[in-house]
Amino acid sequence: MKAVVDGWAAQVAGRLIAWTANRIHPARADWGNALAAEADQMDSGWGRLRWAINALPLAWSMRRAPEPNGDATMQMRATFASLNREGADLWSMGVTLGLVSLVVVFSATVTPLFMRIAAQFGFALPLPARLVIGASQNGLLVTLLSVLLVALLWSRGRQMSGVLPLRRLLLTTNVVCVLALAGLTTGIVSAMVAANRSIDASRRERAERVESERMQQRVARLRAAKAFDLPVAPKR
Amino acid sequence: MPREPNTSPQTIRVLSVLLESPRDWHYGYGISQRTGLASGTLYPILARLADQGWLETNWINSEVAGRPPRHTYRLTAHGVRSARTLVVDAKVRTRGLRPLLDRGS
Repeated sequence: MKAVVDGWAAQVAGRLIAWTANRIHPARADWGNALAAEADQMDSGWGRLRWAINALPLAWSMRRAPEPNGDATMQMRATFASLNREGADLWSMGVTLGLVSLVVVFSATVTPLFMRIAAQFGFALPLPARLVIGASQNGLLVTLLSVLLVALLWSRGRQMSGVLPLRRLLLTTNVVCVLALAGLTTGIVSAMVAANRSIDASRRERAERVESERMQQRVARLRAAKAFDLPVAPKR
Repeated sequence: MPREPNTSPQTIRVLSVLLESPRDWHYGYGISQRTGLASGTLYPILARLADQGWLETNWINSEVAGRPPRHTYRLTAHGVRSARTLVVDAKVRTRGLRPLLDRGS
């Protein structure tokens, strides 16, 4: 079974690499062939597939002929990368932390108020609103955002390779992806559970309110009957 | 803002790996593994370095029979000189950042 899946992955990888190589400019054909040759050295089909998927951007970045003064696209990307470095990294981390703090404050203060108002007037909230409320009630929205923050720190930190001991902290690409995915899944599942609980609670509350109104009406009828000395209708 | 060429962190990583043994030929897959760069990032860097005359390329037969020849790379003399300067500059820059990051942690 494993061999079949591996073979399938190798086939897909071969097609992807051929697709990418066909889109590379003929003047750069050597690089497409180099890419394919390296893939052919790998024994694992999954390794080839990963190599092929990672190479897909070449279909765009190498589609033009090389320019005498350097590839304009690559220069632009390099300039963008350099602008994003160092101080800009710290700046974007600060902005993200600020946004996370805002969401935390919003979850802790505004969301419960909104829920109380909704419960008071007895209107049903749409599913996305219930999901957000459920997540914020359980503190999972905060967990999820924390995971995303870790991912951001990791991606920015990678640019300062050698400064942050990321590998020693076990923050490899796969670990961060798994963490983010686990956080996302847990967040969605728990939010749905919490949303269902809040639906049940609001149904119960509505039923209790209806019962209480019925009781009040009955008491009022009894009082009226006593006041005018009328026969009381038997309890149904 | 125009930037000095070949000073992106990714290029510095590639140059550092090539500088470790400048006379040897390096494979693309090996460089990718040692730098942690994906193939889609690595090959444009190698192509640019080759266009600029920093890198020479060569096709050599695979060590495993029945597999296609592999493209290999090594720095030219001009590439070695320029890369050494850039890598040293990059180390000085990251050392400048270290106290800031240490204070943050």
